[in-house]
Amino acid sequence: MSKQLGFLLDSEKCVGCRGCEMACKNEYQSDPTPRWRQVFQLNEDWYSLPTRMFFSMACNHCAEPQCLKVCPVEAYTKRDDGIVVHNHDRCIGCRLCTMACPYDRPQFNPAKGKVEKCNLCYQRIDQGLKPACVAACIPGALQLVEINNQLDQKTGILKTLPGLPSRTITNPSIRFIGPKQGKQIRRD
Amino acid sequence: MGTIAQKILELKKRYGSTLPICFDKYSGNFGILHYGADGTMSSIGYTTRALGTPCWPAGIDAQTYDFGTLYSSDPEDMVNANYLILWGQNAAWTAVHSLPFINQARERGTKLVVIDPVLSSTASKADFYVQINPSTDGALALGMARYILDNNWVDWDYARANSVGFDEWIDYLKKNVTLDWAAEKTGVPLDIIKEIAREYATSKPASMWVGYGMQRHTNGGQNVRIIDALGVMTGNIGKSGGGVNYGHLETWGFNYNAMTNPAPKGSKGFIGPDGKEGDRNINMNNFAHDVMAQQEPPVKMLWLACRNPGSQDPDTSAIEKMFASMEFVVTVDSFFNKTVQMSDLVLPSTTHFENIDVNAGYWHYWVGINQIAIQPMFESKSDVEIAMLLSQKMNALESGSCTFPTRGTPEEWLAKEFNPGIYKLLGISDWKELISSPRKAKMPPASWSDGKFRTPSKKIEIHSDLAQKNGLPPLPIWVEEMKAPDKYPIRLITSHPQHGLHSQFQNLDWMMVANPEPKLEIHPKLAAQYGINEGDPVKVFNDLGSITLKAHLTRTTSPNVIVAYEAWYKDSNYNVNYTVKAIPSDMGKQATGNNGLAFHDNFVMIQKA
Amino acid sequence: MGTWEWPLIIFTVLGEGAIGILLALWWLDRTLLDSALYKKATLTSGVLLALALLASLAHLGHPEAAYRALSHLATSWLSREILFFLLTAAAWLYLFIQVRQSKGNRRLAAGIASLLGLLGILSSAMIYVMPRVPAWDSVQTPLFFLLTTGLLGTLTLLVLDRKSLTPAQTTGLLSWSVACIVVSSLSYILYLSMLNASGTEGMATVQFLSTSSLFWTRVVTNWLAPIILLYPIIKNKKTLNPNLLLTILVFSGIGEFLGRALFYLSAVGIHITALK
Repeated sequence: MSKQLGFLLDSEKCVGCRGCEMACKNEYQSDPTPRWRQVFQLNEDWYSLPTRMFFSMACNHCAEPQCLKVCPVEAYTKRDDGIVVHNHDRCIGCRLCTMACPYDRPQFNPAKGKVEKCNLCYQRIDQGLKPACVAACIPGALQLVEINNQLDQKTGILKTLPGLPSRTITNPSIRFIGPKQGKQIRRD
Repeated sequence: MGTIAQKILELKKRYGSTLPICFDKYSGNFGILHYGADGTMSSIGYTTRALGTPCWPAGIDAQTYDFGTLYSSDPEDMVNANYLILWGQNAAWTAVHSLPFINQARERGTKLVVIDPVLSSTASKADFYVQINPSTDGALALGMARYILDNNWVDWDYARANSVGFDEWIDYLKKNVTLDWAAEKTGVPLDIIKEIAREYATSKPASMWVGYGMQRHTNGGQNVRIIDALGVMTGNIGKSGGGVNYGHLETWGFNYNAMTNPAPKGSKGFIGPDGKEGDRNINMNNFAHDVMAQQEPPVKMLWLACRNPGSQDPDTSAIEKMFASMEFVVTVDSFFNKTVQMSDLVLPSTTHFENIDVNAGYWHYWVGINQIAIQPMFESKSDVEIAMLLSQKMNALESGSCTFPTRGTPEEWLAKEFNPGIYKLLGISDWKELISSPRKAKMPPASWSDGKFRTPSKKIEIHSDLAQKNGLPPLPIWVEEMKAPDKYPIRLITSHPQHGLHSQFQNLDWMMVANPEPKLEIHPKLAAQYGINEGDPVKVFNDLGSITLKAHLTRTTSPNVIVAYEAWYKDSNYNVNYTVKAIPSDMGKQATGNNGLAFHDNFVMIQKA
Repeated sequence: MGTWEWPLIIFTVLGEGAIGILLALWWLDRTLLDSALYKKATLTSGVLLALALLASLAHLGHPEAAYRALSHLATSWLSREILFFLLTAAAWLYLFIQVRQSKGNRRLAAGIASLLGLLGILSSAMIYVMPRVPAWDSVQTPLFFLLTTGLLGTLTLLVLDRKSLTPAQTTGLLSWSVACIVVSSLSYILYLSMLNASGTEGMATVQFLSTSSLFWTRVVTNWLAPIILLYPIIKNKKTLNPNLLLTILVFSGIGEFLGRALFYLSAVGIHITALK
């Protein structure tokens, strides 16, 4: 692998609008379920003060993808740029990958009898475009980045957020900027 | 069409006029050609019209009394603010396109202050969040004003040169306003009021964005007037990076050609208070009651377009009664919502993908063409096409009964909306230039920078005779907020939803998956009092009606305020308006014809369902 | 996880039963087993294996493309499982041919089929040994599957028998059955206590099981009832009667079935715990 592409999610900028979710669905005209990209709300109790905090997650294109490992038909391949691509045509719908992924990103579509997941818009990337979700993010919370040491050394770059599975299982290619709590004058 | 035409003519014959037909249209789609629906009505005679606006009239009147009209700065100008207060405004959910500009200002070091009874998504981003007691915003502003006065941070030069009544108001501050009172009223600690006051007054320039949610109270208009005065006193009006920004209508100077049609010869109308014959106006904000109360002639038929009273009007039970009492209801819509369910005839309207139109905004300064993306599906038609077809049918049955033109391509209709004024404002010579890209109006970034206020006195009217004439206090003084009745001590705030535009978009399949059901946001302390746990169904009720929905315990609201978002969930009868009374807000009549609605002065009781 | 995986339950339980029979045959035949019984047992094993393989197809979204599942032997235990089960089926055919011949080498055939079958069962268990699911991520998983194999195999032979088993053979089968039940129940107690200390997901699994009526039914049918019913037989072999053995097999079958269902139902995967 010459590089590892991944997402950078700035939870401080994210307002949970789901524009990224909808842009993804619109790009692929996918069925209402499954949701390839999904917005999650962070539990307010995990931070010093309650606020509405969100992050958005699609496939993490992990460095050690469990989905790829367990798939009996070799439907998954990892590209040179790190993107883990799911070949829809090869999939036989055994759902083992859905059991293996700690983030529940590959999801079974009963209507098609196959699993679906985010492929990091590799067709768009190959044309020099940004993924549909990144292009659609108005507050600028979602970005496509190269996951490397240079990025990890920048201040404020987090490797995980509260409520996420341990990174050691699959080494996900996603980074975060954490939400901040300002000063609050409260009535409780 | 035949059915509709016959019904209209039958009513006209029975009552001698088309006044039994009532028209209610609002914000479903503000594209200019949608005014073809209004045009339909004016072309058949004089009709009963729902007059007013539910959203924002109190604030409009407030700014009308103070400045002559509402006229906000270019939102992109917020990048120049050195202090930013969002007052009862939730940009993250209702104006997300403005966030990048706010973020840009913050990157320069600008402090973002958000004042809101609910810790909204926008408040979550604030450097400083103030959870104010609902409906007491004016008191906070007065407290700030008093402190600014005491420390002589007043821009006397600007205020005295540009306003009338300023010193009268200063007197009021000295005599009637203390910081202790303000702190007690608003629930905001004394030192915080001082801190915000100091920062606002001394950061130059400082910008305030007043939200529509803030004025949805019985004293909403008056609270906006006080905040306006705060802006005047600190010299933040007319400055780039400043302003008390609420909204504007500067880019709406179209011809409204589709809307304006003469009534057919011999039409009988309603004699208004000015003696002129014309449409009969009823209050859009008391719609159900007003419709059912009309006599001589009574209202027998409704035409609804770009409006969903079954979902959005207060007092849903009364709305249901009103629908039941109508002989004939025509609704123009794209989805099978509650209003459509209760209607007799539904005309499928084109979505914005299926028609051409021109759109302006009431916050940003851009004007753009809405291009047609696909041909209208199945039988759907635009409001103008519906009007043309109806006119054809009516004139075939009774010659001259409808003056709406029966011919014209969409482009021809669109072209007729433009005039030299719009062209100059946008710097174009043909509307087709807008197809390549939207154009921004050529206006200065800061509103009122020319100092040419549009009040009778041509100055900012801190003392407004016009307000006094309308039975309101002439000065921006404190007016008591509505108090909770003993039986219903909990306030239900029904804010704008995140994933919908009132009753639009939440119902779409993709959105229903992302946000499947409504939740009641309730503080854990309040929930504990009633034995309510996360996910429990809760009945929220008052003497008007009730709703039942699942609880979500959160500390983003306060112990006596619960939040349920107004929205239409597909196939659901959930509607917060079963509990919302049509309580008028204090202002709105002057500029919009009728007072607004105090949506957020809704008091309820809860119980575990 | 968390669902009634009917095709997988049927496939694994029947498949393990089938291979258990083959193992029992191979082991019993060291002291020469009655040929009629051998034939009957082989046929039974074949039917169960066929049903199992058919059931496994029902698990797929696209069973018509199941052949592709052999593609990833390098890292996928599922590919390996399918390979070994197919080989086992082929080996069974070879065994069947040997059994029908008077001088057939059924010993070798049974040995090959049993070995391949065991490899198949181990592969099928390893499919589930994954870090994402703590309830599956231990040596207990292959242990459970092997115990099913042992118990169902030995009990089936006892039931199919029409007084052709020698006393030694009978004793052997009974001992294995009891051993399987004892090891199964004791190791499960150990498994539950380990899970409870392993983290949120483990505790959730234990919580699910302890409050599940299905689980307690399993305890009765898989462990308590068979042991109680087997006890008099072990004490006094003269009470060995076919109806009693059938009853024990039925209880155990239901118990194993429930146990496998709970294996899928009670598993809790590590997941995102933010609000959704």
